[in-house]
Amino acid sequence: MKLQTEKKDFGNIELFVFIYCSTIALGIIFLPYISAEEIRSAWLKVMVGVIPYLIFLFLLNKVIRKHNDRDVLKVLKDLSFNWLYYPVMIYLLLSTIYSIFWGIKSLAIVIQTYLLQNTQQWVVIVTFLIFVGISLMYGITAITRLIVLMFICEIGVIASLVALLFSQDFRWIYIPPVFTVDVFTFLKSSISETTRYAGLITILTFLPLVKKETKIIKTSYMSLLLIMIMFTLVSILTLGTFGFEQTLTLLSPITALIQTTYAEMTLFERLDLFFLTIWIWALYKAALIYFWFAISITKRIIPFQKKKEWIPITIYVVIIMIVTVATPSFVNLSWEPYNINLLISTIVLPILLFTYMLLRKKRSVKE
Amino acid sequence: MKKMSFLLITLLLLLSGCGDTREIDQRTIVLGMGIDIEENGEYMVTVQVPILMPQGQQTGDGNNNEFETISAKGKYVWEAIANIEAATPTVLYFGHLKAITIGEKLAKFGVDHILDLLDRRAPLANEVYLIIIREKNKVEEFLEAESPLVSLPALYLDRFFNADQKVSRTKEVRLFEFRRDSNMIANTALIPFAYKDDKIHIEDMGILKDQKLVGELNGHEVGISNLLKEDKVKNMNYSFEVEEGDSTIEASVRTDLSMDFTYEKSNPIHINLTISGKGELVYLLPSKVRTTQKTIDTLTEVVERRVTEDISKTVKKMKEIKVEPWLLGHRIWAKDHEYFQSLNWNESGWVDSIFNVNVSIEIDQTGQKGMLDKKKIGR
Repeated sequence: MKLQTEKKDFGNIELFVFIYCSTIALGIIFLPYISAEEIRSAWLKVMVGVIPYLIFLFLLNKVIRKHNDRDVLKVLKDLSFNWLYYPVMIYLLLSTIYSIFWGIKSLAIVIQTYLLQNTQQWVVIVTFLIFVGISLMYGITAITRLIVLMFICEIGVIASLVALLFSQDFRWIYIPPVFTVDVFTFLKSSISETTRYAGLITILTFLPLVKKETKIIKTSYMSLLLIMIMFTLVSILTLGTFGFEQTLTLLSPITALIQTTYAEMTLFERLDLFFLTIWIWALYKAALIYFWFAISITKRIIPFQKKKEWIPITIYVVIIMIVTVATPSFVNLSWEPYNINLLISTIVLPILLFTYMLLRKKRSVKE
Repeated sequence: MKKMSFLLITLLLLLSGCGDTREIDQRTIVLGMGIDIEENGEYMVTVQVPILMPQGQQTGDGNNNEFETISAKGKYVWEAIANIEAATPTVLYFGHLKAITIGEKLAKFGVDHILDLLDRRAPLANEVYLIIIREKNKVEEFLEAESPLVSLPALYLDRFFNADQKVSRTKEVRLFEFRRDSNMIANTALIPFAYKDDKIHIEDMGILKDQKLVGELNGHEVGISNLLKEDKVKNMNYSFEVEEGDSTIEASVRTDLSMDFTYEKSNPIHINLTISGKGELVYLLPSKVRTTQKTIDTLTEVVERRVTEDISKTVKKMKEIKVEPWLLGHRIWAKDHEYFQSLNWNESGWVDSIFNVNVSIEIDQTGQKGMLDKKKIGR
């Protein structure tokens, strides 16, 4: 198969959609309550949870401006020692693979619950991963074009969610009280919400492919803001329709919401299946982005030619396939280690690295 | 060519989803399900399934029914369902289930036993209607009832609730609504009653506290209940006789009401309900009576008084059984938790609460198409 070459030909729209698709998938399906213990106002938590990633973007912008280079990982390599650079890259790679594993497990449970109750999970996982593997061979240009095209469906989802605010099942009375815990518990609880925006990390290897004239920071902020609005909207809608106690126990509140509301509002009785398909596409897009990110990181650890790209693609797809099939069902796994790892790899570590890069530059200038 | 072959092989992977397919004739599509409890504690589950056959064809025994009801007993609900499955040639499919009918006896015993099962089954959607069947009928009898209006009882219920009924004697309750309301501060939810004699009747609401039937709302109380819970109600009908001058007039007024809820922070709590709304005169006798402003004022006064009385009566009835099904306590709990705690709402706060009801209705329509009070001049 002829692999596509990577060119710097992505503009504002591609960057906007790339960030949106890398972040929205898993976050929205399990909104608003993913942890074993949750507080009522998840909608407030997702609003607070975006703040660390706004700081991430702010610092990223500073690094790019100071070093006049959008490839911050290359800047890190130039500025730091190998003993720091390589462990960081390997950790980012492993963390990305962990996220892919989690996403595929989630996909399997959603499909098995709502669509194919009698199909074994390994069939779902293997088929999905083969598709993802083949798609990855086409390269980032084709992937980006695909996700931009598919974004049209997301616009339909946004419009549908806004319409649900006016459904007779939605009542504001089920949403308050707003603040039922102390500030410390609220902030602690918000940590798990922060991880919903973790997909933003993938722009580190995407930004070098973006055209020079692209306004990367403004576009990134706007995309992140739209994601935050979507998360907040879904949280408010599910809480205002099902109440706190019921929402807490639903596997996918947004799917239940669509099942509940659109069944009687529309001509088609099982319109929820249409929305489910869109969310499976969303997971497909996110899987493509995450796999591509893992391969980009690998290329920085062990440089290889583009024509050899099929090797890491195959290796990663097979590894994920084996691990996801061999591990227990999703419901028996704890979100806690996953969330903690995401926090470290996508926010704590990058912010530390950005700060380091800013400090190193100043120091070298002084020297 | 190679590329095309590769693409075709890849597309074949899409067929992996077909492993889960079942042809429609391999499924028994359940449209209605009934659950009740027997004297010996066993569950009796009845499913109503449509019979799929070419138009005009009769079943072997000459039965023209478009549906069949199948019942089975079991120690657990799921066991009873499995027993039904054993008695049918195909797989029971609940993806199109419209309504779940619950026996009054089971409702009194408690429905929490069945809710867990209903919550865990993904094909069984959240929007199925819940209905309690009066004790005068067995659940399986009700599901066998035929109506010339809509052939399948389950579809009858679905049609009834979807049709935005013009009488406020009942209100649809779906599975998720029941669960949601049961989780609120008062742990109380409503489910409509139904029964059949020579016809199917859907009216009145059962009150379930902690998922057990503890009381009921009848007639106008249901409309008042909707008003208190949803802050609005449509199509409340009042028919009455009233003296005006020397004559007695009969009138029917249809009202759409909305409610404003406030309270004074005292102990016991003072709850102020300000009801406002519009009315439509739908019937007036004798026809020679003209709808002068005076007549309208008289009718308005009667309707306002009747609404006030109905609210007081309904509130009193709920206080007697110590149940508050309208989220009034929930509003206070959400707004001012400390004050709510001081009220001891579920034990005494609700029973001791004092209501001030202020009703203001404007009859702004004296009929939709006719101007029946016009007077002719001359012969």
